[in-house]
Amino acid sequence: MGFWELFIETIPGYKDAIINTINITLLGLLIGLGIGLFFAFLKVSKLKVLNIIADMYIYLVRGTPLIVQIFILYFGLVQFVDLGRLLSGGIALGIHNGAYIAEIFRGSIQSIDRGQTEAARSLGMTSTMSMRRIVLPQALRRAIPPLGNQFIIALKDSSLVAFIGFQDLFNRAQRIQSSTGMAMESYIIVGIYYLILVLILTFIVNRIERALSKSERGVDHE
Amino acid sequence: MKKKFMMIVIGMLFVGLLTACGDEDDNNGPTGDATVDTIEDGYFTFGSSGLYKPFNYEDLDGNLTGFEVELGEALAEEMGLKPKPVATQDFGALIEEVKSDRLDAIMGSMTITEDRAKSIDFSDPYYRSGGVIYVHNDTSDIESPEDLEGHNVGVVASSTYEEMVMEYISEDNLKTYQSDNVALQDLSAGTDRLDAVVTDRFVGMMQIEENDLDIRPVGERVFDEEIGAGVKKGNTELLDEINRALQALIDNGTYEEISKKWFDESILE
Repeated sequence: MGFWELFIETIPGYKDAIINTINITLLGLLIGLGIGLFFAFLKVSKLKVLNIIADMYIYLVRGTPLIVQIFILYFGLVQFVDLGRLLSGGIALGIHNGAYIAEIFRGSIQSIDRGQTEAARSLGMTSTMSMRRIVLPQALRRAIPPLGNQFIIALKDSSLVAFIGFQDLFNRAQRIQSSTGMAMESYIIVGIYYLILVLILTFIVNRIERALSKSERGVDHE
Repeated sequence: MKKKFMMIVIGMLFVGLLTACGDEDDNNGPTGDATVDTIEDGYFTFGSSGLYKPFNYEDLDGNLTGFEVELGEALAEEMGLKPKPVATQDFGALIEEVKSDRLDAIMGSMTITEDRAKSIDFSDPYYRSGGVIYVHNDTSDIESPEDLEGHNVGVVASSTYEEMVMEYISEDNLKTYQSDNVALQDLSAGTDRLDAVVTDRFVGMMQIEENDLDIRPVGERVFDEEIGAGVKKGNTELLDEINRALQALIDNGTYEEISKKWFDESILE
């Protein structure tokens, strides 16, 4: 069997694997965005103790490998609760990416000139109001490119859930290699699937970025 | 614009959830005349690595199949349950999966050993086989287990083969794999990274035949093995029921039929 025959014959078997990879990545990103936003606010807060909590979280999560986090959630946590493969993997991805996303949000919030906040305050806005109406809309737009980057990393990192037996793209490739003995072909094929997914993701992120910058044009005078 | 962004995010979540719900629909639901309680009512959930052709593996369409998968399906039917084969990818994780109630039983070519019997209970053996040393066709200096010393030997992590080769080689020379099939394929490449692989004789023979591997078995079985289904320690109800169902399949010829389909012989003895 050659490369193209293997490629075509494995398409039906890859259908579920693609859906599973998309699902676990989306789950991870949604959780990651929530966690990221939360810890970004802690980091820019004026309260020292909140800064420290955020720093601790980011240090803990960035300092340990994703595969360790996945195994803790899947094999470790089962003594108390069985999350199953999708949830264990998705939450681990979310926790992991949340730390990086927190830094992205923090960076983009702090990149907005302090003068804007001061101006807003002098016009009578409360600090929450100026954050919500002035700083966040601009910060969000600035966060999109690095966020898109992080989404791509998350998509590729989701391949690690194969090791807890989640039936994602990489898992499928390992099985095809095992049963056909065609290592080179199996992994090039799965590489192509990842490239296609990354292409789609890049397209979506670009669209979001364009939509946001269009509606911001009147406001932002950089 | 914030609204638009949120809409997109919410839309993505929705699509994700929809497809997630579509995941678990492969079986038509329990039949209702189960003879034993299982972790999921009406289903017999049994696991293997899914990387052990011809015992448990996925075909190109992505369906789990192999001798043990078909035997598990037959056992399930005999017990009035729907079969639910699961592949864990990691052989070493199987015992953990049974202990944590994620699997009713291991049907993943797990040899019955005293050590393992401390953490799980084994059914009667459902096949017998043995470990064989495989080498590349160009290798001539390995003829017995003693000769393995100082050579790179590939085995599946946490397997009885790993235990066995560790009597002859040091940790440095131990190369662990997730799949015996992959280890054999690696051996066939003929590089220095592997000098020998110890695995089941049926697995090795099938790989040589199907994939034209450049490897050969050395001598006879190094040791004999009995393979049984593993259930959670103390789950005698399920264990007795598996033993009963197994005996029924042997008596009515179903076992032999499945075995002959995969191996042209009965591998019970």
